Amino acid sequence: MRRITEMLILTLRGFCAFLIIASVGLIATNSIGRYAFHNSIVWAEEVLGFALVWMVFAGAVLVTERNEHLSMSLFTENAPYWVRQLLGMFSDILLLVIASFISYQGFEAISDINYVSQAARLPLNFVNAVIPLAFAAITVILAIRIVARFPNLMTYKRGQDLDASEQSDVSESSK
Amino acid sequence: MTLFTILVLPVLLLILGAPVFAVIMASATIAMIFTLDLPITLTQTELFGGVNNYSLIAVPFFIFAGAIMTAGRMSERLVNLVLSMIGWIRGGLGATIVGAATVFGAISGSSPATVAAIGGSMYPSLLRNGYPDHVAAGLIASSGAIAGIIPPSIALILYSVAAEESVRDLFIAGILPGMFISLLMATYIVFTARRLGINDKRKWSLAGTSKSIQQGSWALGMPLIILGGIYGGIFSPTEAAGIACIYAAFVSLVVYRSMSLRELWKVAADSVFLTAQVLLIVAAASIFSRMITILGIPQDPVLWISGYDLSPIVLLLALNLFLLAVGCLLDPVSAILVLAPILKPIVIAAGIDPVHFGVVMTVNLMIGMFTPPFGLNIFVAQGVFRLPIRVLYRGIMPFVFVNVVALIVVSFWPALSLFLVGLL
Repeated sequence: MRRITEMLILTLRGFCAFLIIASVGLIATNSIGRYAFHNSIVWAEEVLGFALVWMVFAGAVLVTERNEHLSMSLFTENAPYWVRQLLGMFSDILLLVIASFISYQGFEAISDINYVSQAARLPLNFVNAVIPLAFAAITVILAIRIVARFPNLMTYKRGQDLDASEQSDVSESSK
Repeated sequence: MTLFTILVLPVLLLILGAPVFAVIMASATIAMIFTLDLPITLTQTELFGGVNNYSLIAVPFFIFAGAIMTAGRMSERLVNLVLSMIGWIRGGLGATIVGAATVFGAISGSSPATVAAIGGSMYPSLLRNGYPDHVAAGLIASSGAIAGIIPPSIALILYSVAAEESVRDLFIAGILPGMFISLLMATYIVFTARRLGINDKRKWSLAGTSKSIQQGSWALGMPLIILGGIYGGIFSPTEAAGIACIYAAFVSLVVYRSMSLRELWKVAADSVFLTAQVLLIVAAASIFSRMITILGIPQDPVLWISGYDLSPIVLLLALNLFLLAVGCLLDPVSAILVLAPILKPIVIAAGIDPVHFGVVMTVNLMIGMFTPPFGLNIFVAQGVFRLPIRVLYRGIMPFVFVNVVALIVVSFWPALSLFLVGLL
């Protein structure tokens, strides 16, 4: 299971790297084409916008997997270990509720989209699908993490603080 | 109910350490469903539309270009270049940090990236030359903030999107204030070095300077391409960012051979990761912004503040105090995206130029980046230098003071921001 997850994450990272490199290639080709051949790619701007949307939401899955969403953890980082665990659990549940909501409404919304983009003629339901798909993946990641947090909370004993437990607690490192 | 949803709930969730994205989404979704009774599928439209913006494409590109330069060790060559030019001054090593941060900021546009890039290579050198650890760390952590003001600045791109102002004008407006802050900080560190009896003077030689120029010339070409391209009317800021990536990759892979293709691939994936962290908040803020507009919230403070008939000076003073406090607690991305649409009508009603205000807002929030207790650069510096946080606080405070002096000048002398906008 762990191997499959690692493979999926690696594939997603590769996909994200491809998206940004391809976008850079496209914008450079477009700029050079405009000056060298007085001709630019009409669909470039539209596709670059779509690529950015895909980068952000595909990247959001990676950010969630590493639990590195930007947050104001400074009030909580000096709290005792069990408080941080509880707050971590709370954040995960909040994010899970939001992610499942976005995913649900997203699939509802794209089922009504049956037209193509103006310049590139790309099916817009396909382009939009990244949002519900990404948040469905985020929901799964969070559900697994929430389940994994329980043993930490259940086995906590008074005095068992910080050091050892903190080192394994990668999830609290978000800024 | 509205006050609870838009203000109390987000503040409470932020204090509890919930991700900023989730906080904004929760607040906006509750307002959308329970207060405004809007269709839930509006979320999809707003999330998509919030990110599908041509100006925002510059954000991942500038992050990518800065990351290539760091991984390809181009930042080290820039430091050596600046050092060879001003290292002969007493305190020149400290001033080099400020100069290098300014040049690197003209490439990466990211404040924490600048701290990591410059700090890693320069901190040991500062210590070897007699700078106390708190002064060295304070200098590097605060210098990084210059990158947020010197164009291309990611903060200014986000302000342009949130406040619907021209990125080009904002970039031009950031040049002189950014250089002024650099000059003030460099002057301060030169005097501090003399006061502490540090003698870091280096012998100047034409051969040494020529060699540094030769080694760093390709790296220096980067800001020339970006800024020259934008202001020469050759590229849009987004195109300049894309060309900057190609140039950085070419120099690192072919000219300096300091990076492999495999590393480039890794840097590309890491850049998308950083982009997602930032732009996910942009996506959520677009829903939040729509909700507060429908609820009529931006109009309320405008009417309330207009009632007091404040002069622009008093209003700017009040906003500076407010933004400094916000900057100490919240990262600039979230603060700009949430506050710019609310504050823009207020400043326009008071007769303040929104482009000038964009620079003022960015300077405020950049000071917050290194202001104790919560500034992000402090924690980046702590990670890079492995110093106790109280040592960093002690070293940073004088630089906070210097930057507040700069902020006062930038705020109350609009020509510093707007002179070049009118000229170019």
